[in-house]
Amino acid sequence: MAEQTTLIALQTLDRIFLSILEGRHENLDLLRDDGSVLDVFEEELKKVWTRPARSTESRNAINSGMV
Amino acid sequence: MDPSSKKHRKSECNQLRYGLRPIRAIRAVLTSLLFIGKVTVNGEEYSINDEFKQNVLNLSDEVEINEIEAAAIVLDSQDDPGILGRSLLECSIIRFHQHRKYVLDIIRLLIDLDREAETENGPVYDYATQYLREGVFAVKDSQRIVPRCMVAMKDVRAWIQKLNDKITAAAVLAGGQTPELAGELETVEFSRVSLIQQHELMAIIMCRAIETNLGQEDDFKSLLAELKATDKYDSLLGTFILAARGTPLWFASLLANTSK
Repeated sequence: MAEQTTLIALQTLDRIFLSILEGRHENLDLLRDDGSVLDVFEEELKKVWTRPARSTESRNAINSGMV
Repeated sequence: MDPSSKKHRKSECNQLRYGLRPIRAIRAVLTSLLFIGKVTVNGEEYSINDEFKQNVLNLSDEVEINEIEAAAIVLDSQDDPGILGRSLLECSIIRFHQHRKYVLDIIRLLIDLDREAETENGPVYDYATQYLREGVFAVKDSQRIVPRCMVAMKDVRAWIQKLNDKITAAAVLAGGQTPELAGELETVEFSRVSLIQQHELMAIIMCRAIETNLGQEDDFKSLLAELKATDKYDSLLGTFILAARGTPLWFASLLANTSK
């Protein structure tokens, strides 16, 4: 099984909406059954509007591994 | 489904997204003798080596995002070099832009459904319209959608300019000749094209937001100020006109006022 990544979740949601637009309205049930891809989308949308800024704290965490 | 009641699925979502990641962390430890420490991304602890660390910091600097966010993207991209034939950093940059492009494209699809809802009826149209307005356009405790689009579009334009400068500098270094783009420059070009597409999609979103009466007078004044300050006639200006198209009456009246 392929690993579920952010990109796969977004591609899945994109395909679901595209298929609905093409007339397969029953695919809305896919979102009703499992809306986790919507959560991923909403998290990523926030980052599109405002890129999470670099920070000394995060940089130090990566540099030292001490999080 | 009520789009506003999805928060309870958060833990389920994280499980789905990150359930298999510890396997990767173990693999990273086994395949590297340069083990230096641990880092926590989205609640999971990972061991990282020097090379991984450097890729994370380079990605963070290249696309100007938080280092922990960058770590998540590099982690997701680890299998890509074998598929794309590019370095892990380049694969991570490509993935970063793909995330953004898909997010914006999803909104475009919702807008298409929302437009169809003007003439069609059915649960999917109700859903799309409600989700677009409540889940995308109106984000609680956040800036209104129109200025948010404008700020993001401005950021993208500055970013494209930076990449253009990078390509020009590389061409100058190449002695004025036009050699084929080196691998690294191809990724810069990919980013540039992706950003132009992102700019277009943001314009489509802003246009729809304005059409649904979410624009205010100040927004149009800002839009006009941006247009006045434009000194390049390129595809980005075209998308601006597209964004302004949503408000012909407002736009015309403001133009008339400003020309007095």
